[in-house]
Amino acid sequence: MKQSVNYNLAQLLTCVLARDLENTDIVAYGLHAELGLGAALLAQMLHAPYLRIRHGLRAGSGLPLSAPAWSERMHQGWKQVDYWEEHPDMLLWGNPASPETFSTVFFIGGMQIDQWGATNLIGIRNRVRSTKQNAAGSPYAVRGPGSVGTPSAAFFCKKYYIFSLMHTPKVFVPEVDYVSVPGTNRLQELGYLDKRPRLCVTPLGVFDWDTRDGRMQIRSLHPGVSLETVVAQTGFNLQIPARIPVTALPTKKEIVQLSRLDQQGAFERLHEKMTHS
Amino acid sequence: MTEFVSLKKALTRIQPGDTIVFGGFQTNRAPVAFVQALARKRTPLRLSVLSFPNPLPLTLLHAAGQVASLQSSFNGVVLENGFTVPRRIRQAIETGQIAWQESDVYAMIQGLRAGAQGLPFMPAPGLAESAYAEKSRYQSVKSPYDGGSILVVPPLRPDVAVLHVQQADRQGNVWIADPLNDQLLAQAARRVIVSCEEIVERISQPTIAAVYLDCIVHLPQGAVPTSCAGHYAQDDARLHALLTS
Repeated sequence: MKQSVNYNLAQLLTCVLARDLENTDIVAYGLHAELGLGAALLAQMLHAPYLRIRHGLRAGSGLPLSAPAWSERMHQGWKQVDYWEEHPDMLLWGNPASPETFSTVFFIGGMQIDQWGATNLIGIRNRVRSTKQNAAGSPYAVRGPGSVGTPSAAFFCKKYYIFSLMHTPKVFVPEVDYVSVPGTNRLQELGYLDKRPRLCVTPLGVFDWDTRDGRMQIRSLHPGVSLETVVAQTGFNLQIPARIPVTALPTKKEIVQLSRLDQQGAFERLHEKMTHS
Repeated sequence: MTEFVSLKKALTRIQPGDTIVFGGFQTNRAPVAFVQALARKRTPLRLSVLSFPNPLPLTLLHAAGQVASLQSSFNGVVLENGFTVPRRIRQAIETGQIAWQESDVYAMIQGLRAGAQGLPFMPAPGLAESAYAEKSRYQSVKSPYDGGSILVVPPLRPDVAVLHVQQADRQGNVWIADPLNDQLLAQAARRVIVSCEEIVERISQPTIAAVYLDCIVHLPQGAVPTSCAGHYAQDDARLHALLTS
């Protein structure tokens, strides 16, 4: 396949995710929809026409990349929605025991991500005992936004992906301060031997947890990223395969479709965010 | 019987110490005009707020010193200029000013379902080994049917739910163009107060029947600066100013 040289990091990550999606998937996504929705729309265009997309209030396909329908930025925003579903219905999630399947695929971010694939959107632990700010004895140095439904989504969805717009030792820590979504260590103790994030995509590479001991390993590094860089930017010992592939570049076909579905520069903005943070 | 009342009268339905929940989701259809009037009350209300997650009512009431505790799953919204975290709420949590419990939104919805159906608990599988299972002291029970262990959450039964809707009819039925949690909130709450954009003669297919509602206030533009589908869009600049002031 012909490879394209004119791509940005956001498009590269979107392509990595899209290639892993298939016809039987039902995709839902939360914040930073560009990656999740972008990947789902791209997969629909290229190899998975029957893949279904459900985003909160937005259900259906063939929609351009834009804000979620509830945000009503355009006065008529709500009319973009094919099918309006209520929040409690959305939260039937992908429970395999339920006849209603909200989604089988979800994308999850984190203030911290650890070697076991656990995420933390709850907060960063207060390591200084008596600062003025924490006179009340709050255990938090920084309060996170909260986990929304990511713990239950990760549990119910067949495939969940972790993404991070930053790859630094502060994000990729040995062990998260608070567990939003549990990692392979805790899941294995509970008897869920096969439950783990499908992939993790970052500005430096693609990672997975398909290892014997359930620790994160390098799957591929993006063009121009050295092993030294990723090791220095990760706060724990990564599992390093004998041969490290370079992340496959977007093909010309992928780039053409990505620019069709994003005419408002969403990928460009996400790229800026990733390269400046 | 659903009463049509003035805003002033509707406000008297809120009692000090109430657990209160608001309709709308993120930046959509929050009962802002009602909340602003509530925030101006001089009586200390010490409200417990459930947020689904719906940051503006919470932020306004907290700024007025009327929030004693909060249960939520998320504290943030995406506006035009990016991700916005209501700063004062975050500070209040970080410094221990308000009691606070965070949960998974699915567990909270299951709690509302238990509340609405008068059940002592509802299974909420999927939180095992997250910090929420432990922090919220959620218990597990053994299923009498398959013998497996399943996490269960306690009922959530708000004292009062406040919803903003597009239409109410003379019988007190309401129609919502974009129902989110509204029906479940109306079912689970002991009292339900509705503000509406317009009053019509008859709604043929109500979203929520009058039987669930206590009183209705006619408050056009009552969700501004959040959006109300079919009536107005959200005002990002004002939302940003209110959430970050």
